Amino acid sequence: MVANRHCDDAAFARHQVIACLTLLAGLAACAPSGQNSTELQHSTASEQSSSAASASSEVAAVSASMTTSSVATGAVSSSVSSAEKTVTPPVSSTSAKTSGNSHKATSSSSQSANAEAHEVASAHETGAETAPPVSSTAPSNATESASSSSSSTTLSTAPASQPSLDLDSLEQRLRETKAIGVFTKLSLKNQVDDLLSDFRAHYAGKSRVALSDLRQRYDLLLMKILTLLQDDDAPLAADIRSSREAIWDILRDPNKFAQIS
Amino acid sequence: MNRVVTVTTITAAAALYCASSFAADDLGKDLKATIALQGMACDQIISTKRNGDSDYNVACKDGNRYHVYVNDKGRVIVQKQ
Repeated sequence: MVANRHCDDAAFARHQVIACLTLLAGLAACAPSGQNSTELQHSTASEQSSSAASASSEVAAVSASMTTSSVATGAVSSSVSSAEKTVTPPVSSTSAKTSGNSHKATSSSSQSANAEAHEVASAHETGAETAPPVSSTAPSNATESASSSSSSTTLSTAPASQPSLDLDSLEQRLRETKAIGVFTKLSLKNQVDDLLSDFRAHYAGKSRVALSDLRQRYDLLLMKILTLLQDDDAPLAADIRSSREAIWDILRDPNKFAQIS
Repeated sequence: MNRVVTVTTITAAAALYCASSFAADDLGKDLKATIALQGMACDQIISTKRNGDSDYNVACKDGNRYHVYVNDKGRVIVQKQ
């Protein structure tokens, strides 16, 4: 009888731990949106989200108390903490974005969330290793904006390293990235199409827009894309930044441009 | 057993609320970036109203109001109201 009851308690505790981990995984995934949910808290569409925030905080309180109890009981929580330790970012020379992501990963408390976060963090770290560093090789945004307003000769002082250009891959990654919303992607596509049609008009002799002006518009458009990507998809931003001159080489050459358009 | 059901229900509710919160955040960021890409000012979105597919009214904290939609040619239009 006593053994039977003990088994029931053990099963209940196990179920409780699983439920807590699931809850914490959901809350950890919800955590980065805190700032923006406050931005939208007065909106009609986000009435749900504001009530969600209060409900989530209540749930967090419940889960916190339950987590402490599960920590007292078990090996699971110790494995969680060890998993957290493995996620701790070892890199100090990479960009702030990478460390930020790793920090987010350390804040998650479930095993599955930690595994995912570890994959993301390692992906970012490898991306930072393979792609050119944002701050070391490329000019800052302020420098870019300053140079974009000046002549095109100063703009051609961008990074010299030009890896092999894979336009299809970049386009596919841009389509699939979650760093840019649907409206924004469509708006960007409109602007890219406008620029390409201006290039066509330029090469057809139907436009008096100078190539230096087109270069300026190209740089501005690229800067918009990089601004949208650099926080949430840094590897893609780095790849696009490093492909800037290669893409421009295609655009400024009528023969190469005719091949892609 | 009741506690298990309660915890499971709370978990499901939290996941649902998180999903809706994410969707609202993503939409707000998307619309704000779209407005900025068109060169219009919006410091902070305080409300959005969906009129239909790809059609929103946006109110900003600075008092600006915009109609953001996709026209029949597939272009994103941001109209100040």
